[in-house]
Amino acid sequence: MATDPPLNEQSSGLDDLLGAGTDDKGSYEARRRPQKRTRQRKATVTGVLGEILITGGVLVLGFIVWQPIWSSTVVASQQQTASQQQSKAWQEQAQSSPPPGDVGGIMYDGDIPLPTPVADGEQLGVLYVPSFRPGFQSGIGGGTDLRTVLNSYELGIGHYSDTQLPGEIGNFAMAAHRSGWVPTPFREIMNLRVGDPIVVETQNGYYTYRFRNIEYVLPTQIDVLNPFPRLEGKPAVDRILTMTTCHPKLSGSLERSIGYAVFESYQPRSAGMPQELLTLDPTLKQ
Amino acid sequence: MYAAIWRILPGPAWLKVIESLILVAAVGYSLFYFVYPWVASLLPDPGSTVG
Repeated sequence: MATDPPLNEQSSGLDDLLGAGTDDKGSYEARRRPQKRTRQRKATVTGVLGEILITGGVLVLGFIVWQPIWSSTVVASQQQTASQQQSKAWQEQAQSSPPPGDVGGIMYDGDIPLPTPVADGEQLGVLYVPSFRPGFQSGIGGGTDLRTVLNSYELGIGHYSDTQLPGEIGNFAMAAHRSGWVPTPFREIMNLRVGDPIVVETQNGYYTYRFRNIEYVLPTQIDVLNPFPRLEGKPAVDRILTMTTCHPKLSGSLERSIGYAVFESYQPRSAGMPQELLTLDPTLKQ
Repeated sequence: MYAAIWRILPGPAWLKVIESLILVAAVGYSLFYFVYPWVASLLPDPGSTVG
């Protein structure tokens, strides 16, 4: 009996060490389940410390839960609202002072007007791709800076500023996220099928491209941005639109998905949004 | 800490439950809309160019 100290002495000694529970010298059972609690249990240092640590753990877990929710829903809808507002602002601006060369009418058979280049982080246009999802529209910013363009609350798609402009002969190349906790405008790039419309709206009007093909390359193969994609030094022939994003869809950035489209037509702002776009995605009607 | 909050909350136990649920919702809201966005702005960007 003397070799093993009783459990209650051992535990009250521990409580003494922690500066609590000294006034209760009953048996272990009695202290664990008192018949009638006459006074409130005092907070112990370990108890409070434990609660603080658990709270901290829950806060960190909450951040992990918050990141994908925030980026996929809140920021995505903010980007969409921002591009709607920009589109509306251009529309109102055009009514007071029409863009150069805009004489009204559906088809435009003159020289295709090019948008004015913008500084990095400024808005160049709005991208519409009905194949991505209903209501998809996302702002295109100058440059591919993460904070001011790709991850921003207003834009989401970046234009490689050393490539050509929408409607220009050469390569209009863009980048956007596909996976991860960031906003992902190009997440559904594999939904594109040959002939699907990809429309770029700028201050002047709408540039319609037709999707051609997709290919998978390594991140180092930046020749997809060439005026003639994948060929070095070859002069540009067509008006190409290139979308670069990550592959695989959900799990990383080891490869790149590259989507190519070819220019089809230009529609001035006075003619409104291309009818095909409204037919494929009625949610775009304002 | 949580026991102290429970004691401070007024009313009978069922009211305390409702009050603590409201507290949890308020804390969660402020975390999601103010604290976490601020924390995210302090964290470094992911390294890749596009992801």
